[in-house]
Amino acid sequence: MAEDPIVLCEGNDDAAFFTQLIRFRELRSLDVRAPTREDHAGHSGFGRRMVALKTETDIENTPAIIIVRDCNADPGSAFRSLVVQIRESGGYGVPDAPRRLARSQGRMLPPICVLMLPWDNQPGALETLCYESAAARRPEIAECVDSYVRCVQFDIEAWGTVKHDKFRLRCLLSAACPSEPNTALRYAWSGDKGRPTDLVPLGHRCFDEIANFLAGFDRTLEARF
Amino acid sequence: MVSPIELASSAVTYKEYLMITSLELHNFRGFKLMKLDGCPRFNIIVGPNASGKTALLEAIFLASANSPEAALRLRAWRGLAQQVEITPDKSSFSELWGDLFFWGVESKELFVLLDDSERGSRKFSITYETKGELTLPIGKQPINSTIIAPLSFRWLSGGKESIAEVEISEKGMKIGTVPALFPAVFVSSSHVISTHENASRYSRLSQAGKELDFLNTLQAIYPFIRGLSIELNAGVPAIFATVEGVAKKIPIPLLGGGINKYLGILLGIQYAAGGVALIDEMENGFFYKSLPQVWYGVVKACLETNTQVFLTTHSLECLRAALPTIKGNENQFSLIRMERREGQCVPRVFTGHEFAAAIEQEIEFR
Repeated sequence: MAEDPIVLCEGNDDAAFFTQLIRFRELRSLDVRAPTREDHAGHSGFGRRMVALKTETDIENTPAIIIVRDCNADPGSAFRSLVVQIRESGGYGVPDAPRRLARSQGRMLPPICVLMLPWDNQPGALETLCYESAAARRPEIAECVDSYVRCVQFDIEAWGTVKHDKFRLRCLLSAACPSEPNTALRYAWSGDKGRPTDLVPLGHRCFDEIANFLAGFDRTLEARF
Repeated sequence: MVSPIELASSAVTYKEYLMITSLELHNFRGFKLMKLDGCPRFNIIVGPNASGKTALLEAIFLASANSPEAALRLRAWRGLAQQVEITPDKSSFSELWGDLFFWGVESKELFVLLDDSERGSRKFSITYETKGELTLPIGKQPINSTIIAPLSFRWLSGGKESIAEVEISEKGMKIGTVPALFPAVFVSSSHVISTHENASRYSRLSQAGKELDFLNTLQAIYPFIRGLSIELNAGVPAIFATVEGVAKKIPIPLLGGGINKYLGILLGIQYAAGGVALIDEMENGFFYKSLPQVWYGVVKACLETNTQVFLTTHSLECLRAALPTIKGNENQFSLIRMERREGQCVPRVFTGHEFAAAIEQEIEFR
């Protein structure tokens, strides 16, 4: 019996983030899902995954599907492109704004909600928030990372803020984790192989809005129906 | 490795006729009322035990049969007694035929409505005749007030009705037959197609000059089979295989259950050309690595013979093996998940596009 809302993530990094955030903040249980195939990962793979989900046994008993995607440089465009995928997958409700629940047309599919990262209309990605948290925990490394960014002449104008955030987080994770300098974000909370467990502290206030949204999601469901 | 491009190219030549475009079951086994619309060429049925998968195949089989005797075969394939005791009393008559009706309630008409893509609607029904008669021979007889009404199997197609009755008399049970209207073959999960039946079908295929194509399809999975022929085995015709490295020809059933089943399915599809092949628990007997080629062979044979398929499976491995064949041909497939709700069997139907996406995403949809 499916009773937990499904959280559809772009990839393994954000799936790990949501799993750990739920655990750390003691939030309600959610069925967090990463793509099972590399070619369906990322923001362009949601449509195919939504089509497949229609067939899942007991999907009609799932309270909701929360789709999580990065805002990137243009939050409006990112949201609209996701809406197109939801509409084209057929049968689902189509939200008109982030964090608004849209009822599906038939009774056999759950309502849909979109959560944009870092938040509704803010450019950036999950890494934007994670870097803020990681940098606050290790300001001395963050200072060096900023120097490194200047030293290698990282062109923010050309590459954009999202890649800037990803670049800085990558550097910080490597510097803070000498036992496994190639630690991907998805392993930032694993604590294994000598990795510190506080690489990206989930108690940081930058994650409060997301945590509050998830904590209050049952009320969102009740209010909508 | 299965080539989707090859299959797509063979799809260009097949005709569009489908024996069943829509289906309605009324009062049949676990179905009080069930409707399926827009059935494509390949209908793959999944679902838990007792959800009506096999019953759906049985309904189509009976609607395509030419005698109530088909219902007795279904009983045997279900594992009920191979032999039945015929007694002239109503309760044993009901035991034999009553399980065809929804919850065994025989007072309501059981019927199946089918539409095809060319000839329109047809109806198959089973009812007890309202009149029955009992002849008491002259002389002292115990009074038996129970009259056994005849059971009528009716096939209505193109405005013409064919009726075959089942009647009990002092002499025994009389079962009628009518001319067969629609070709259908049922590959049961438990029943092995007889060597004689396979030999007969192969003989027809061979006479039509299609034996080399058939051998090629078989060799795609079993390359050690070098040739097929019909020989007598204990006086009964059977298909024998010439096997690489073996001097003596070997009867196909002795080569392996999977080979025998695959051959039976392919011959059945040829036999049911232009009709419907009903395959229960497709995966049984097949080595997992051969499953993609089994799918390919079945789909190719159906496209070439204009045959529609309804098949059941429990196996995720079997469903995943279908993916290379489905890709590029999604509009010819549907996934039907049978569910049991409030004591009734209910279908959920998904498109081939949704089915393929679900396999790719490893969604649990059975």
